[in-house]
Amino acid sequence: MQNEAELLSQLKFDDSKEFAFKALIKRYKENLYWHIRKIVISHDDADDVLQNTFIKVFKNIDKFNGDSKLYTWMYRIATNESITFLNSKARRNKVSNETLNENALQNLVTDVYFDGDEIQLKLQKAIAQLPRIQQLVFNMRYFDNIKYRDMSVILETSEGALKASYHIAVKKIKIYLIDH
Amino acid sequence: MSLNKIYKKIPFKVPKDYFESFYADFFIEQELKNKVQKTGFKTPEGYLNNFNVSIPKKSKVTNLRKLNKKHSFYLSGIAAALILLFMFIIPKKDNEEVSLEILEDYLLSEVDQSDLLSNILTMDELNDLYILNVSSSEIENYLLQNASVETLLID
Repeated sequence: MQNEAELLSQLKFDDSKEFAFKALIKRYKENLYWHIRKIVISHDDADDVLQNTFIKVFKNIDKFNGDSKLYTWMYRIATNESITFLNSKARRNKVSNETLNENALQNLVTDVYFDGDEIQLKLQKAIAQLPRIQQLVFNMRYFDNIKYRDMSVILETSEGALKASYHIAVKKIKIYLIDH
Repeated sequence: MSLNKIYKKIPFKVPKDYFESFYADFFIEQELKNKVQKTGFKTPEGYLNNFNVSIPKKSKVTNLRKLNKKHSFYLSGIAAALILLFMFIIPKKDNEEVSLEILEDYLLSEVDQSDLLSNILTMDELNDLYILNVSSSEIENYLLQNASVETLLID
């Protein structure tokens, strides 16, 4: 498997760009999919956002200057695309983001692509009642074990603030699960 | 006091109850992880193996001048202003919804989304804008007095 630097240099040349891009998709599609899925909840929406994310990566790869890791840059694009998608969907449906979130969770009960048990469903509901930044931090740390240092680049927030957000999120979720 | 004792005294302090809350946080997280570790989400069979992206074809080179980043930023600002203008000024008509959708689709596909006001703000924050008491003439004056816009138009 090519290392990140090789892949990046191939992505910057027209002759090798398409080939390298396919390798990039192969390497990152799964992680990015699950990151997006946890934000947008439904599989169909996650599929749309994943497509948009890779297209944006393809269009902007020349602007990537290597200041950060390629994967944190892609995660940042995926996060922004997911949030943009949700805001846009809420506007199109003429509902608030909270209502959109509630609807997504209601649909989860009958979603064929959700086979979670009662506690997993409750956990999703508990996550949904958190402010968005806490949702992102909780999902990235709890399920994916992403380092605070990388998360700090992805979310453009200090490590200290992210640690605080995570601990607050865990406490709120614990309280929610006890109350429900 | 001996030198040994002075050196052994650590001059750092921690916030009140730091260690107690550290252990409490750790155990809360562990307790949660004992109950649930996975999301419960799944994908259609073979979805990730078959996932592919339609790589956009290179657009034909035209004789249009390529916009630099500064111009793109101004254009995004103007686009955002136009959307607000549509919302505030133009009276409601039957075809308004369709027009806005077409405009939005265009902006989604053609304009860098990161600069758009509509994507920076949430639905609630956008709704709050409706209660701002800004008249159409004030918006028009603002746009006319904005030197950057004039420069862009002259360009």
